Amino acid sequence: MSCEIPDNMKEAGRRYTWRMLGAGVFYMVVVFAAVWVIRRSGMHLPQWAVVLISLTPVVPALVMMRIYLTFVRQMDEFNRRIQSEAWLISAGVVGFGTFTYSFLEEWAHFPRLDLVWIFPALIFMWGLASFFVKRRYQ
Amino acid sequence: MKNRLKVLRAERDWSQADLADKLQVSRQSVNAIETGKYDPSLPLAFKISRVFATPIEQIFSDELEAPS
Repeated sequence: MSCEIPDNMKEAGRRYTWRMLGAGVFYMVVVFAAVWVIRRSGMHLPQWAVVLISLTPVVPALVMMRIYLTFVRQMDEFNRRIQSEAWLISAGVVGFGTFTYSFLEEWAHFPRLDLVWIFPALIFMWGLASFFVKRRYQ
Repeated sequence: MKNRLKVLRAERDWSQADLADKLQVSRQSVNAIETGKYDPSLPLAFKISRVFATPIEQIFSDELEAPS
């Protein structure tokens, strides 16, 4: 997750960027390792082990969320408000979008939406909404 | 909510960045407050009052009443 750094938070911003980069690398390593293990020995592993391996990418994702929350808590109230509004818009758009699409899937036989796209869609919409919310306050 | 932030800042020859520094907020926050697009919280309003050494009601007023 990236976001514009307010000018009073350069140091916190630098820390955030480095931590997020580290968490991103951690995520990639975990995903590649999980894919490698499942492809190599998935057939021989018990179901509970496959479930456990499948859940491992969630760990770096949670680390990223914690890094982001720590950064937001260091922001001033105005920038926290921008972040909150952007997430609210993102949750609304993606929530209503997927809700609407589910009816199209069910009744109009639209292609099945892969759940893995919901989180990236939330982040994309948050980025887009942040841009417009910031502009509103300028 | 209306405010006299810009006038008070000009009287002291402070830039938005100077005021932001004193308030420990971003310059964007000062700009949004000055232009009336963002109303500060009560703690921030009190902080602004302390920085300018001016009573809060002389800095902020609601839309119906011009700041004194």
